Amino acid sequence: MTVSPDADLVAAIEHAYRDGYQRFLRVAVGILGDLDRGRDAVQETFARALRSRGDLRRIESVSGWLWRTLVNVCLADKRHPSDRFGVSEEAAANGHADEWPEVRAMVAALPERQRLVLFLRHYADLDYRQIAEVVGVERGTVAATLHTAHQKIREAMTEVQA
Amino acid sequence: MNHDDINVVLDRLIEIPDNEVGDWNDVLARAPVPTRRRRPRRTAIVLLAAGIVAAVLALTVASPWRGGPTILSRAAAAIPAPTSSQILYENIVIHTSAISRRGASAIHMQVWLTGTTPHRFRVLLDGHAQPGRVDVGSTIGSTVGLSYDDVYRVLDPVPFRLPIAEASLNPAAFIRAAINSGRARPDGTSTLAGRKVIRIVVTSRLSGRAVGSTLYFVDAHTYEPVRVIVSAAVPNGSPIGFPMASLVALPYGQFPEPKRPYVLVFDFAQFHYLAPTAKNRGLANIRTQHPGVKIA
Repeated sequence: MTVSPDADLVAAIEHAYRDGYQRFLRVAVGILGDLDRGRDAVQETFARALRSRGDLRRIESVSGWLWRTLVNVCLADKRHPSDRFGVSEEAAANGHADEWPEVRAMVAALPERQRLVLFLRHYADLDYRQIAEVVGVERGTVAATLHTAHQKIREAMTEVQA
Repeated sequence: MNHDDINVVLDRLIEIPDNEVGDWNDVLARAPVPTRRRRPRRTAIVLLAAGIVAAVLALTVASPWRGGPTILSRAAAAIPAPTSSQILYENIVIHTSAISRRGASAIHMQVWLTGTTPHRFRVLLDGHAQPGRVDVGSTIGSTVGLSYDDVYRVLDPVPFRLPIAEASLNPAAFIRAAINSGRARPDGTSTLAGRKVIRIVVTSRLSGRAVGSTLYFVDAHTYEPVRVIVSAAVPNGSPIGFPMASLVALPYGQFPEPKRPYVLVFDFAQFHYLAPTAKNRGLANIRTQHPGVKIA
């Protein structure tokens, strides 16, 4: 998506929000492990996009910029001492938090880049090129990273099902 | 386990309400997008700021104190005034309860004002609550200015409802006038960041009712402004005690919480006069600062 006039840019940001809210929220919750913090990260991401939209004039992809901002907002939030992965109170309350504790623990133990790539592929539905742009790595690295993450999930699931 | 199975696992690991659609209004509240026509940000901003100036000037000022003591007489005489050819430069950090919001901690304001006719001025504001910066220039007493639009790279003519007075740009001139007219009273001395300062209070009144007070901290030796604290007892009631406060509204258009009293703190990192070189004069000229940029 290429944008130029300011009004179009605001409209593009709003469209991305309304169209992709669930995907942004899912990635944010994946990174932060908490629904409320995920919601706040999404809101802050789009507020930041509006505030800094002047910078977007030099960027071809609003979508890519938004995803990169979301990741940055989440990683900044993760530095908060209360950070934890995957055991949100809501998840625990509806019983899903403990459904696959081994898988959950394995995903939580993935290196940060592997988790980011995994979430951006599965929750954001970004292709390899887009993920590479957001994470700041080569496209080939995305493929290799994703392959490794998938392999670890398969191994964990095999242990669970055994 | 195939790719679809992995998707199922990941979907189950992180569940969010299917019907959750987000709250765009909350996003807007965190980063207000001004209602605009064509490139209206700067125009609306300056118009609204002029509205505040108008409201301020519609008030009247009275003082509980007249017949200044020696300290004020000395201050009035010593408060720096430019020679006709100098350029006043101010670098100010502003903190305010009125516009501080999430992520907005301070506003940085720079002012250049020439001492020669037609007394050009330029105000540059950087704040967190607005993207980009506000760059406005005009001349003292003029009812029209120019605002640089960095998106379209043009200079937008911006009308001022009332002329911008020197008092809005030079607090030293204002406090000198307030002392001379008996609208200020001394409030003792103190130390600010290791600097001995004199406190001077100007109370703003409307129909006999105090609507705000302004506390000036001026250097005890040079009488240059060091800090100014504006406290409004009523919304928009205080800038009359410190006209420069009206400039703060430039990047925001209006105080976001106009129904609440607020406090503004101006810390003067720099307040001095520049040599009358062509380069320094150009700093006060918005057209010189944006050469080749057309007026819209």
